[in-house]
Amino acid sequence: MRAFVFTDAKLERHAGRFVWLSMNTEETSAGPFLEKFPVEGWPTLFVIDPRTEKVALKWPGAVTVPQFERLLDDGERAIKGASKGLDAQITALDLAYGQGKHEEAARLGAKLAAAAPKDWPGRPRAVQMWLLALYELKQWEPCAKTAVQEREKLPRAAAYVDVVNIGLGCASELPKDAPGRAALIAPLEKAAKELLAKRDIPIAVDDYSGLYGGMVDLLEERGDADGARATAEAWASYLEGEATKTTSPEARTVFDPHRMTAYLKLKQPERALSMLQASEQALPDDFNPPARLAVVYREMGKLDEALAATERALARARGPRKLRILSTRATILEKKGDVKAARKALDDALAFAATLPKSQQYEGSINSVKKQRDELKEPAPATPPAKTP
Amino acid sequence: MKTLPCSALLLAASLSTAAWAAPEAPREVLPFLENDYAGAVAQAKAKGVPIFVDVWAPW
Repeated sequence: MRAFVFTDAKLERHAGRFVWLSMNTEETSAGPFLEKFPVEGWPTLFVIDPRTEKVALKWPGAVTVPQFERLLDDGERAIKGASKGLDAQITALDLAYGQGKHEEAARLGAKLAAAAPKDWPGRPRAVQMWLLALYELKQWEPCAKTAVQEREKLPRAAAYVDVVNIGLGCASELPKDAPGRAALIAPLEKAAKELLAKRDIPIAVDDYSGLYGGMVDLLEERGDADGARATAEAWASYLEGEATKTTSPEARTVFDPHRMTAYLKLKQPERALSMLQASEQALPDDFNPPARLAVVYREMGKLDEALAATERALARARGPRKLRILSTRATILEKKGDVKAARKALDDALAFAATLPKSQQYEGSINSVKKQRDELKEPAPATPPAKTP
Repeated sequence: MKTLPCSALLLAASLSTAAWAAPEAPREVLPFLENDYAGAVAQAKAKGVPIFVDVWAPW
């Protein structure tokens, strides 16, 4: 958003409509805000009423410029509270979702999607909110079914891609042996393949990237190694092409984690090296390039370079992402056979987590570090040399 | 599925540092306050406008 949307000159005309706030969750100063307004992912966009300090609209994920402008209109209208009819319904849906009332949001989303004419401009977003609420509720089957049914009624625009993406995610979460799982995946997979083949809908690159990633996972799960490899190669090629179009290191590094994941899927970590080295040189204060280099060097078996990269990353990181860097460091140390040092890295991660504000002590990350610590294996004791008589 | 020709792949894979260091990053056109929720609330109350928040993390 910061590199591709908030830099668009078309948005200048909205400058006076809002007070604009940027919250970096790697800064401990974001703690009190996050306690009041928790997020489940990045980015998350909010419109907040300053009089009540309540959420009028919450949107998880990146948006394009036209989607962003629509969010501004809907957020402003939600605060004015003067709308009627379908506008009032989408305002109620936004309020419910924004305040974490996901069951109510799913009910309101279903009701609004049924009531709104197919060409009502707010309908695609209402369907997205409905699916997002079902996703939050982990109602995988209703979510996937809704995506299959609603997809065909949507115009071929950004919301269509999101609906396919969310639906595929929900269907994939169903137990592998769930009856009907394959039948739900099939139409969404077909739609995803068609979207990736044409890529004719103007959406953020990372949305197409997410679709590629979901497809690779799906093909791997099915045991289709050739299909997964071909899709991962197409994914990497697409991202490389998009990276060449960018005009600044900040914009180009947005693609780094996606490209790295595609290269790792292809078992070609070395393809990420020059990209990450250039990112580290261009953005010397950013912990991400060396943190990613550590993973790439580890996968290449260059463990000393990997450890050195974690040291550079740790020197630059301040917030919750430090846990992930220490976790990577532990995997490298374990590979080197130094289990004691690996355990210390994980202990350091847990000790650091305890110093963070409560709202930045992410349960998932902490549990993952604890699990990694529990599973550390002591190296097998060396076999004593056979005694010679 | 569409794939780029090999030459495009090679070009992307061999991006030089010089290419990265080139132009200045485009600036944000909206006047964002950084990590200052209390300041944003005070300003928004004074101006009578809502607050828009982008919650992000370096990725």
